[in-house]
Amino acid sequence: MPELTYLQAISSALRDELRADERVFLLGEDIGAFGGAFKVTHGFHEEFGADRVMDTPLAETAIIGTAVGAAVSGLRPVAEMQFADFIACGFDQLVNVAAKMHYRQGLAVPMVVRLPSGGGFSGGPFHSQNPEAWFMHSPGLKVVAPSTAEDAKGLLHAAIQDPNPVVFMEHKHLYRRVRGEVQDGIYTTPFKARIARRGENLTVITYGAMVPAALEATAELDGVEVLDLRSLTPLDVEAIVDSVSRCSKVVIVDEANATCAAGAQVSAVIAEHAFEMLDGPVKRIATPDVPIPFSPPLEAAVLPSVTRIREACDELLGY
Amino acid sequence: MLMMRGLEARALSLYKQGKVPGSFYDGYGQEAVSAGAAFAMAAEDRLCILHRDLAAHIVRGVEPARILAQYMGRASGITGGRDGNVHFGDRNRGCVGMVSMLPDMMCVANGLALAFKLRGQKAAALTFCGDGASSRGDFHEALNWAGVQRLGVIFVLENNQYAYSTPTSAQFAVDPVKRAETYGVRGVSVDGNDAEAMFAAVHEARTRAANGEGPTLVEAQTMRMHGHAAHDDMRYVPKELVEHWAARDPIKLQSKRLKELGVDLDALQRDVDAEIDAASQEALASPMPDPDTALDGVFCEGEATELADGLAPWSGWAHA
Repeated sequence: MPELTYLQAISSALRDELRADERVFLLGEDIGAFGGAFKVTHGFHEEFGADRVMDTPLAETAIIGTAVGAAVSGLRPVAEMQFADFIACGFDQLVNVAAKMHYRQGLAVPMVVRLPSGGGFSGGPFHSQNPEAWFMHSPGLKVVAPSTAEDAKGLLHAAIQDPNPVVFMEHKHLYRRVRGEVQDGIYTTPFKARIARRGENLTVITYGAMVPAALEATAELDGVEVLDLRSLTPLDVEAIVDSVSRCSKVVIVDEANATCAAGAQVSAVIAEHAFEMLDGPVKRIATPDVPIPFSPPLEAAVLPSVTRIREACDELLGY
Repeated sequence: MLMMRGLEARALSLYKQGKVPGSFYDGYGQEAVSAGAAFAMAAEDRLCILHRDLAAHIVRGVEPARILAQYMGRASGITGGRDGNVHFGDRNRGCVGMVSMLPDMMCVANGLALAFKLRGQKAAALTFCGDGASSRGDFHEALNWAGVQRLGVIFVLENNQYAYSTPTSAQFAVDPVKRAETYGVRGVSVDGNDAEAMFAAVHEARTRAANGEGPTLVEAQTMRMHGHAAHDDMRYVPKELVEHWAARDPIKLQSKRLKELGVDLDALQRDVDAEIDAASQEALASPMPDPDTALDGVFCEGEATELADGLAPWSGWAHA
């Protein structure tokens, strides 16, 4: 199997879908001739042409709305926001038009919105956000967030083939840092959690860029499990309860702001369904409720770090 | 037009009897806009129909009983009680249901037109929008995009003079037709109370759209003759303005023409009334939705549902 970066795995999924399914097309800002701000669609313009790798005006509302219209017509649009932060400009079309369409009208909206998200490289308040919780709170949208190259490709294939609008959180900090063996061709990864490392003394429940951080932080600790959620909507309640039941101690890590984050929902699920399995308080690590600052020492002060995760695990293991 | 006016009158009556939950919106006095526009569209065309455009649904073939059931939140309404009043689009008639944010469907209509373009189909998408909607960003993003990509889309801007209580003088400084033209979208203004003028304008726009000659904004000059919704006595509208437009009622105008052609209007009205009576009985006999189904359908399971074609009563498009 070839070894690909997380970014190459995303490109591979898009390329394979474009080749296999003529209904699939991509639309976004600067994705065509230029190949995208992060070069995810590098070389696509030459292979698939301007209609299927469509450069759009700088208009996020119109990108999402146009994708909705194409999707209900039977096409399979994959829209790129240049940065996840910019989805705020297309929010209404996503949460009011796309998300509610099937419930209201019985009309499917098979589309994907790719959101390059996350911080860690001085992107500042408008190029670093993790807005996944906004969409978890919007019934009708699915939300997935891969942490490995293999899952980035498999989840993207599954998202494109899903008959519902799927928000695909791709973490920019993983683009070129994470690499791994990836199967050739089309395969789908279920919207379910996976155990990234099995353990029995404590479980770290997380997703996206915090998965490699959690693995690194707990590499030398004894028996620490890392549960990679992969999908936030639907949330794999069974896997969460199973992991907590086996490990009895839980650290939940979000890179997103803490309040009402995905991890807050995980914490609520544990309180409701696994309270009696706990041998200690649920610990949460997340970015405090603050915009993501630009300057490196400020940014490092707010984003969850390997050290913070390690300290939280140490503390809880000793509880 | 008679069916729209009659159905809305019946629905208002049901509202006053407490049988229509929520609020009630109608398009009284604007019937020519949606009737004329919808008649100009082909079966394979796609429409996004708004809340003062009931005639377009009727033209596409949505049954009156389902419309009244929709108002009453019944299981047999088009949305099965999941959305109210005219918030619906029958996907089996090629229509995408509106949302409350009124220019949103302009972007969606662009997507419908883009799908035709990518597939090389000679067809068009149409959406209605209002004068108030022209202040929102979606309006401008949609016009710009349609202009840049020369999409086969028609925006029917219903200028009914008021967005809730806000007159057009407080809404925009530049005429919507001029604004459309600055985006590369052909703009025309027509008498929205004249069904035949509406038909002609949309017919031409549709021909251009299907032939790859780009988008058109059709401004339909009309007047909202009722309040924004049933609760609104619209005391903010000058009496003279209402009187001016009342004299230009679209149904009166079209009736005069038909009479000259020898059409028996009394018989036509009787047929419409009988159909509405029957529809009303059927809708009232229809059950409310089962509360146990309230969570069903948030997600599509299985194969993706798609839009199907509507009816196109004007046969001229059969070989378009």
